[in-house]
Amino acid sequence: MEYVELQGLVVVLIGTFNPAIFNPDWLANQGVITPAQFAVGDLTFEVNTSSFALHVLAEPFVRAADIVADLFKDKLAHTPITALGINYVAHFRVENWKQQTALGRALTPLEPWGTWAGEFQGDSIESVGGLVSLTMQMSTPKDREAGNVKVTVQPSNRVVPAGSGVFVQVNDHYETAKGAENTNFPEICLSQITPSLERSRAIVTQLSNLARSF
Amino acid sequence: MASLPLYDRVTQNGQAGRQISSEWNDQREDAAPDSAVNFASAVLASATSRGTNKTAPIKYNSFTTKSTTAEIRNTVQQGEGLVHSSSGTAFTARLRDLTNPGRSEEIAEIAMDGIDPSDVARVKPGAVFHLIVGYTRRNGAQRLETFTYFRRHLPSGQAVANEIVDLLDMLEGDAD
Repeated sequence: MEYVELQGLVVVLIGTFNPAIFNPDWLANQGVITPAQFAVGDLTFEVNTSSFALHVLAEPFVRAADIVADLFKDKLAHTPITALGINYVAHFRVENWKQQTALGRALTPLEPWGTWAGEFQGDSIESVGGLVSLTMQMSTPKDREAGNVKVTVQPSNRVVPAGSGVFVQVNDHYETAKGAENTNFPEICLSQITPSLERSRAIVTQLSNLARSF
Repeated sequence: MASLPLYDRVTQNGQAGRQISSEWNDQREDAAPDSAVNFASAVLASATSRGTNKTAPIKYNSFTTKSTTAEIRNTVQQGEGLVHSSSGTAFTARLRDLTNPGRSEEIAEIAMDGIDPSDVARVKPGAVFHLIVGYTRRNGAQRLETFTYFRRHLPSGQAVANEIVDLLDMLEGDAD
């Protein structure tokens, strides 16, 4: 995590929601958001009729689980929820565009692309070709009834100068197994947010160490 | 920050979070326009109301908490603590290193003035908190800081375990 320049957490719930409820006054009156949180300005709520997303832009990320529990375990306990995503995102710095490209080559070798990839070579970040986005999926994590873990790797568009960063998103996805009773997603969020964050950070560290070994 | 294409997120197998990368890793303004299909537009078009042929906007509520002075933190180390006892000025807690789970637990005494004033009332035996060490960035300067966050909710199993700890502490106090 040493080279992480920017990180965030987004908890997404899929279900049936009443967007009108989720306004700053209501959240403050219910004690979900404290005056200090308004002052710091590091939470973003996005709600429509079928999804709820809470972006946490700074540590402590674990408070996202408390807010989700406040809302959907207590205040709005009967909200139908069908899926939960604990999404960790991070941008880490590499030494230069050659290191960034080397990581891309390690994750997605050129050989399978044949002669077309022969034209990927370049002597600058603008001219070199290669990985734009890669997603790997763990399909059957043992810690849940149904869901998956997806990791997406892209060149960072936030770390400057261009070519000196890598973006990683870990989508830790939980859903109700077919034929199963209703799943208590706020409870899953409470119990899984810490292991999810640690797993995500371990993946970012692994990729960062690999990139810096080139 | 660009608005998140909510429509994308909810229309591809109900996956919770696939399109987040589009906001968290948006293209720089000088980047060439993306030639990929604009999925958001495609979904909006398919949400056209039957009979009227008018696009039915999907209403949503979106806001960010006020001000934009958020600190960016790079987490270096994180631990989970369980409060064992507290006095007016400090509390004792058992600490577990989440970043290096192989490390053995430690007992630490933490000064009350090191925690957020809004958390003071939560400092009691059985309370769980996170101890976070990370880099903060203000006005271009970076420094290493440690801060605590007391959990408002606990997973059911952990809450029961902590109630037992509470009870044992109470009995211990009675025995004294």
